Amino acid sequence: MRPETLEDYLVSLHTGQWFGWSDAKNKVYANLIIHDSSKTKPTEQECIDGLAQLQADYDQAITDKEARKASAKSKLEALGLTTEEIKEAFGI
Amino acid sequence: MSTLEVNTITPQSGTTLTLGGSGNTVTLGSGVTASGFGGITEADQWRLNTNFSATGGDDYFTTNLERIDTDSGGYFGTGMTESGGVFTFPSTGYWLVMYNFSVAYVDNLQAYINGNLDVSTDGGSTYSRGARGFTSIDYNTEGAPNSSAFCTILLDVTSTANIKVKFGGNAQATNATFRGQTDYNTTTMTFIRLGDT
Repeated sequence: MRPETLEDYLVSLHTGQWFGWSDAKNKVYANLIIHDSSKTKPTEQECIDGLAQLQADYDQAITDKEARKASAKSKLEALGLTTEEIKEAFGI
Repeated sequence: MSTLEVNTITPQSGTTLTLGGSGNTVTLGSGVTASGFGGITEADQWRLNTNFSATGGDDYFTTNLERIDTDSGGYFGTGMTESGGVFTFPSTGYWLVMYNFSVAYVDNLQAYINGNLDVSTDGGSTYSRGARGFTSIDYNTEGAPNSSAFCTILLDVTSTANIKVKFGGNAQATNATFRGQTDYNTTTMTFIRLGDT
């Protein structure tokens, strides 16, 4: 699942229930609260940048995965397998 | 139609009292309150309202729990009380406790994830595993891994002071996320009182 929310970034920072919301119906930075005093509240900019980085990492991982599939498929075709055979045997 | 006015009807012999026969309809008057029939008198549902990243060991929800309050969600009866993730029953009786958990987003990992429903019989001093649901997700093959699992237990709550329950899970890897939402149910705990103990 592609990271889309502030919460997606926060769960990537630390494990456990270290954060929550003063208003769970409105999960914006202003409502972010820290349950675990050993953890530091990230700045809003850190959250924005962190989420953007997660999204970039996710998108890159998808791109890399598709590239590996395409590479594998072309190598198999070069060995003489048909598209149907590759799909049946390897699911790509 | 005649009216029979008595305070108590008891069997002439034995312990069975029959009203009407096959094909008859027995009707209680409008506004009548009937007691002693048992039935469901309590039902309540709670949920995790915020995502929770697993530590890799036994984790328990200690905060970010709420009674459902959207889409006509509600409860009836007295309802459960929750403090620090520990749930207390409002009355004794046979209670069906159901735990559904949703997990997602294991970063480049294969992982098993368990949902744990733990029960205390000594007021919360110690807990034992009452029920466990199992699932697993594989980031590498599924791409966008999500999964849900379910476990349940029927408890004879003989003491509201002693019988407590709490919820959580155990993930093979960190970064497995228990899904929590406040707008709809993902990870939920449901409590239904089925009858007297």
